[in-house]
Amino acid sequence: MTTLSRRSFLEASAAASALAALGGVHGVKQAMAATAAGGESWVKSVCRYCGTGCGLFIGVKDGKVFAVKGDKDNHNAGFLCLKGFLLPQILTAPDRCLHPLVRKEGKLVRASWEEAMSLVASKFKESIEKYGPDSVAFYGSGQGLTEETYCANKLFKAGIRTNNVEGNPRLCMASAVAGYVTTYGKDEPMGLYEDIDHADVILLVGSNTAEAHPIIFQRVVRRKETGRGVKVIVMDPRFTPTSRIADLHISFTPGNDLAILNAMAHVLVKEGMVDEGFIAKHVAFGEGTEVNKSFDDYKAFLAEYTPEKAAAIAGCRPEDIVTAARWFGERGKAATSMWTMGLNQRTKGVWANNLVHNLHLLTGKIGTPGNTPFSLTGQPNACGGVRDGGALSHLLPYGRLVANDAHRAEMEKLWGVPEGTLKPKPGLSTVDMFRALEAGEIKCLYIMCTNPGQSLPNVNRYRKAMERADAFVVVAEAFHPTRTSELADVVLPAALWAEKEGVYGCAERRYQLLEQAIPPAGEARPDFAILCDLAARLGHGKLLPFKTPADVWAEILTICKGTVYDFSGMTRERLKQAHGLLWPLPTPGHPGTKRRYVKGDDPLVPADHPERILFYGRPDKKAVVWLRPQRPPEEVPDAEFPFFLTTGREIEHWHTATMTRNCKELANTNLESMAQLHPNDARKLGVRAGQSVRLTSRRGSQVFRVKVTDNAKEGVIFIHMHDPDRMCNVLTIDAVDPVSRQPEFKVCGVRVEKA
Amino acid sequence: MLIAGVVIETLPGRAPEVALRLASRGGVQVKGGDGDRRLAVVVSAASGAELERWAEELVRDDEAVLGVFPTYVGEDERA
Repeated sequence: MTTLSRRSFLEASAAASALAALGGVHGVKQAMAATAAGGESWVKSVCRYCGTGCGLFIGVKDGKVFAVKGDKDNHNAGFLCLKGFLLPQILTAPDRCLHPLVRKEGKLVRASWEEAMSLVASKFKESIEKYGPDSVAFYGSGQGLTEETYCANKLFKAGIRTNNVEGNPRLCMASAVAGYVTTYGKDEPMGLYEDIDHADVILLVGSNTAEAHPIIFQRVVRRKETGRGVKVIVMDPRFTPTSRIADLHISFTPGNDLAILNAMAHVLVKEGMVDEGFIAKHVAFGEGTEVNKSFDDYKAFLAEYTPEKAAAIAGCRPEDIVTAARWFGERGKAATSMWTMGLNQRTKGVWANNLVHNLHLLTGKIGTPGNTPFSLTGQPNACGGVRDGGALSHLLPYGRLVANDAHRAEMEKLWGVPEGTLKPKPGLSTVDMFRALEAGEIKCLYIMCTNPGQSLPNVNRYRKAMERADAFVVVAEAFHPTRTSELADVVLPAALWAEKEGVYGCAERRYQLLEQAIPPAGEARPDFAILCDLAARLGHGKLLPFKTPADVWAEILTICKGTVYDFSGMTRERLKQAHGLLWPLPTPGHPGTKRRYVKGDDPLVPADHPERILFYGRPDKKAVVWLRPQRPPEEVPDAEFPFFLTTGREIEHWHTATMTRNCKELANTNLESMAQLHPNDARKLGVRAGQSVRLTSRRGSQVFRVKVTDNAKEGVIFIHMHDPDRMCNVLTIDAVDPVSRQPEFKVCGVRVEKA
Repeated sequence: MLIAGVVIETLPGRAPEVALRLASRGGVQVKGGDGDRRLAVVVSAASGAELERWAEELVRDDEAVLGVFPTYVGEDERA
């Protein structure tokens, strides 16, 4: 056998990876052969960070993960961002939680699994018996594996019989869900990443793609470089790294993009860039919650949204709105729009989503290569596990609703529980759930794989709720301490990423299997096993009789069958072989669906349907253009709080940094949240870079150092969300969108004082 | 010591000249390319921060380079 030094081995692996990413060039075979000679194995998996869902291989040698490399056969074509490449470090991070902890005399101390689980089960039992099933709740995550989230959802809704099942996707994409459902009748995008490669116009609105989704951004950059005359429009108050590639950057005062989007529609209609034939066949019009308007009503509604008026509202230039509309609407040019938290984390988030869909429906730019409205996702399994899996308080699995009698009856039959088991009233959405904890109505809360003690808006209010003496808080988490686990009564050490097996579903309906590469660290257990244990202790073991995650998946395939999600052809074996599969995929031989609602691609559209597209999600088989007026955010600056505060992400870290602050390359890179001020604001305030300022909102106060940057918009302060020691969410507002119940992290008022 | 596999994207037709410039730098091995606009490179760096700096400088200083994209990072603890 050929022996390699560690360095030679790593160099060969690195070369193989880079060459593989190029694809088919000289040197790949030689490099891969050298790698294989090292005696290691490569296990197929998916990146643990954002919702892009990049395929990768985990390198294992001597029972340890030593590296990752991108999967060239997946949508990311072998590319990973730097965070992805640093993934191996999080497995052995010094703050891994390696054994259960139980709070005794105010301190979390080491306990056995038996002691911890007995305590959890007894507390939940006692609460359910004394106060009823709705006195307990589950708060999960778009990072849990599909099988884990499914188990929690089934245990709480069908076993304990409470619909108090929520997850952090409520904080990041609930408005996108409600946008898709109100417009098309069903959730989830109809397009795929490949549409970027065909787009002539790419509209990025409320998305700092370059930092939050770097691999998607790379694809956008490539399209712009290789396509002839490709235009990129970025709508964002700040001049972010994404804006650097923009042909047109429209900066506006936060919360006023509804006016801009309506004005774009105004221009499309006025200049005859709408597709009348498409509208006549496929589009209905609505206002409020009723689909009872006409195209003429819509034209009358748009009349007041002139570019001039919208520009005056939004603080941008009218000619830029006209240019954006003309580029988007030009006949024969394909248009893809992408958005994320800038639209979703708003009290008008659903409306903002509707208005992007409107642009595509008016122009008929939907369902063909390069033409799609595409919501980007923040977490790796928010779509697959929580949205599709129905693990929110108003949902049941795969498009079914708690409040729908037929859907409950169907799920009761599928789950083999007596009629009437599932409660007809939706449970509490996230903010309401933590308010119920604050009010003492929820007594026991099980938090899995997420960090609400840092990520909730107006966070100090809900940290106090979690600290209540009569609240029993369980945190199943791979790391400790986090800003949530520090408040817990019991901390359960959870296996992490390569230490367990399960399915992730990313933003483009792509489901992928993460195979287990190594055993869990310390005494950690997969959440799947912890939940099955809890179910047995609560007397619901028959509901979760599973021995392995594969058993759960086999049941899930029976649950999705016959729904619009139908992926019953995605057997475990096929997932092992494939580099991601896109649903619907109703039979084992089906190739998967690139574009939903499209004849010849989507198996749910009859082959003999006379049109190219069928919006089968709604009873009238049409998509809805909604008349959504401009409305301001819940809180705008005033004399007392004269600045806008907006929050977001930076490339080096992810969410609450529990999986990046412990990477040595990232720990000291931009983790500190700084108040990013425009130079003119800094001058007016008399502060310089590096000085400290105190930011105060109606909810709280926090000191930050100042960063002065031209990228900021005058009057708008940006703070990133990652820093656990300087939490932006002390300041943010917990007002929610009335439909999606998603909080408005993106806009509130603050004042600034020298600290 | 970090060992990284990196794809470098260049302006069309400029990959060969960029390869020549890279070959003269320490810590960089050019492993292949498409002869037009992409290069496969192995880079050694003392830390992730140094790797990032290297990438930033390359993009900033070489007008033919459009982007640097890591595809692999491994760590040689004994180096």
